[in-house]
Amino acid sequence: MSWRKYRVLRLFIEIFVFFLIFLSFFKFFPGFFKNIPGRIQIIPLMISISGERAILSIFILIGFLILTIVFGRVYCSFLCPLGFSQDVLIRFWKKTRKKRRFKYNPSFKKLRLLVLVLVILSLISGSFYFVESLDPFSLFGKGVTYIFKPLLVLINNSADLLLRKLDIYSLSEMDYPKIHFMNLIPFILILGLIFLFTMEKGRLYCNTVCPLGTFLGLFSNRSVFRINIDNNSCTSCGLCEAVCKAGCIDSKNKRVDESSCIRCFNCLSVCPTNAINYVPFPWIEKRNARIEKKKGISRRRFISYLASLIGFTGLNFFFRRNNYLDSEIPPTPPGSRSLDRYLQKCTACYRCVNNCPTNVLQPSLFQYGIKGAFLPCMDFKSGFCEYECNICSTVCPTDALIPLTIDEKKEVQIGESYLRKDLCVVYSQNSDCGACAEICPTKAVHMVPYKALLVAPEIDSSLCVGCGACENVCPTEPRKAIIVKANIVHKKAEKSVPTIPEEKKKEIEGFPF
Amino acid sequence: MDRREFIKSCFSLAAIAGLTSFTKSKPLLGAQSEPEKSKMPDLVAVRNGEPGQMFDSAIKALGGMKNFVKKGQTVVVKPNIAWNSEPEGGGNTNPQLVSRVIEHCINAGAKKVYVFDHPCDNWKTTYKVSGIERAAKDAGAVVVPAHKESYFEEVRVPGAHTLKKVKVHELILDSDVLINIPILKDHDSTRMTCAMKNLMGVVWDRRFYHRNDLHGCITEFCLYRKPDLNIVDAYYVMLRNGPNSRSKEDVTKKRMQLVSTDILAVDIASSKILGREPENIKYITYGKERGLGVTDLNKLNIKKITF
Repeated sequence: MSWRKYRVLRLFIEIFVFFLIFLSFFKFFPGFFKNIPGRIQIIPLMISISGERAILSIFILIGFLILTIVFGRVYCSFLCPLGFSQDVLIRFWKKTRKKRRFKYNPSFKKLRLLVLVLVILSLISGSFYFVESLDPFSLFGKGVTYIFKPLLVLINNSADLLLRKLDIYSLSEMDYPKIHFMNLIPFILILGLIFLFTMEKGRLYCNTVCPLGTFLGLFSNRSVFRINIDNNSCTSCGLCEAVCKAGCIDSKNKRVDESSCIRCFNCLSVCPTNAINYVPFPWIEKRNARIEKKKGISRRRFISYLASLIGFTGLNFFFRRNNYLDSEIPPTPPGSRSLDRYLQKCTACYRCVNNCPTNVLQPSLFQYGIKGAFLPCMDFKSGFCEYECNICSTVCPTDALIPLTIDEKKEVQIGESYLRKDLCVVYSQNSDCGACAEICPTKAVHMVPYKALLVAPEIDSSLCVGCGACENVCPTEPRKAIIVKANIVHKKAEKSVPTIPEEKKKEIEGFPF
Repeated sequence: MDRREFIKSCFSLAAIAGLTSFTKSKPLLGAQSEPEKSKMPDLVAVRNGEPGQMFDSAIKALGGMKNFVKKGQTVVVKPNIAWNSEPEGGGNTNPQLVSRVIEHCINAGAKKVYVFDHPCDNWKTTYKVSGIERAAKDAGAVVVPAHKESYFEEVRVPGAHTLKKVKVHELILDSDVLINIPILKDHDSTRMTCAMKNLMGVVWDRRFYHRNDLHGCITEFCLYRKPDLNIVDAYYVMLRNGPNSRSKEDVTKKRMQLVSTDILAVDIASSKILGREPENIKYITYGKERGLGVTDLNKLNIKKITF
């Protein structure tokens, strides 16, 4: 029987899903389809369990559990974007370096436990930080934002400059994401780790650091379909072990560590004696021949896994992270409802940041406190929130931003604008300006008669949606005369009632000159 | 001729004059009338037509686009594409008009026609929603971005007090002809936006304008460059809550169009259509002081065309 097709199938799905997810970080998919790639990511789904679309998430999660129980950790090889990225890296290392063989790697189990304990401890202390920086989907999103997007912008902008010299205007200049080096420190550490791991030990990240890998390993351990080595025909030649990225094959003892196997199916096609296969219920035949396992360890591990399960799905329910500074907090994006809710649900995958058409969404630093570090925030220096747009709320994989229709979004007040008359051009210089009122989409900022021919801005807070347009365009330097202060809990903005036209003057037929 | 006969003939003449104006018969006053060769009108005012059709007759009255665009020249067409608003919203220049202007330029032998604006809302959506991107491309123009500083180059403004230097779009520097197609609108802070105000869209740093005597800067830009032709779109006119009212109540269908080479005269005439006193619009007053154009409309040769 040809096992090659398993590997081909895996590659096909892996590449397809990867590009689906990858493209969803850019402005490729319209409306509804935008969120689908996000709905097949397990950690975001776990976080969305405590949210508004819990039932849907639970259904999908149960689907994933069944999938894992039946086939093992196929998720890690088929659907994980970080997994695919590592596979590409592994391939790259393989091409660039001399003979490379993987080896059975039994030592990482303790490391795994350590990371899980860390994640759980951080969750208990009320911080998402470890989940945020270790979750493969968020990590992948950070990679897109920190590496791919700047590269893309660089290439695009250089090409644009060149083409403009030739009088071709088919490209246009793009904005770099606003990245502070502080944003990069934790990311680079983990990226370095991944580089190192892929260079030497294949997908070691998935079997040590990745909390999801450890979690799925629990179910994979008892899966129906397993990688099975036929003791009789196996010659312990070690070919399968050499191609095993996960380092889970112990060819000497003819055993496979099912909790680490990521189901890449590389081993199946290399066996010269066809001793290794992927079949359901192999243990029924093997039961008698099987070497006694030490039950104690696996039970202990089981309990730790269970704790991690509870940790992921439950703890973020109970522990709040609200040690942010109350002053100068940027508003949270529409759909987040409140800062507390946002801090409990956002894992900073930056899909919203990449999809934002006006670039008002940018990675934050510590504006939301240390525990809310690096979450996306509304940065009115970079842009302002387009009134007729709801994209960010439709792309969030964790439901930190719940989907809003454009009409719903128009009624959400994420902050309120405040005018500082001492800085305002009109009030302080007696000169016409009105940039804020001009751009205000709701007429919350409007001009009222002031002195002589002058008109001056005035704010009707009930109409304000906190889009930040006024702050963005305000011309005063260095401090803006009009700023948006965040609503810690979002409010409802009133709909502006169209001004009733004054009695229509008799329309003069013809030209008034 | 006795007195009775005189009165009679007076009455009949008056009646004929009255009748002709009542019937609004097309051949007498309409688009078909030939332009007088000796006396080119200073300002053409058209009404009751569709945007493209009105422009056809207006440019004919001015002797055709060939008077403004010579063969092989490059042209910048500068409509107002500032807001994320559909054509009926009266926020942006009518796409039909833009496309017709481009067609005339190309027929006159223009080598290349560029269309751009530095929008207030997100530029990509604005270009798209306004309908101008599609219309301009279909008409054969190149739609150019103007949303980043790198597209702009600094120039000196001769004789300016405030706006001594300004960053303008590189294509303004490179092109032979500048055609300004503003839409007439109410404006929160400048009272009216039309031809002079529309030129703020070829500039990078509008915040500088707002900080430093907005009206003065608007006027002084014309010292750097006056458009070769101004085409005022007054088809849909936003009467209140401009420049970006999102309420249909504020927009009326005037179905008018003004075409002139005189940017000040065309703004004064426009202010009257909007029902404003030009004296209350400061940049017009400044424009008079700077001698940007003719201020007394009675002194102008105005050609009025009614469909």
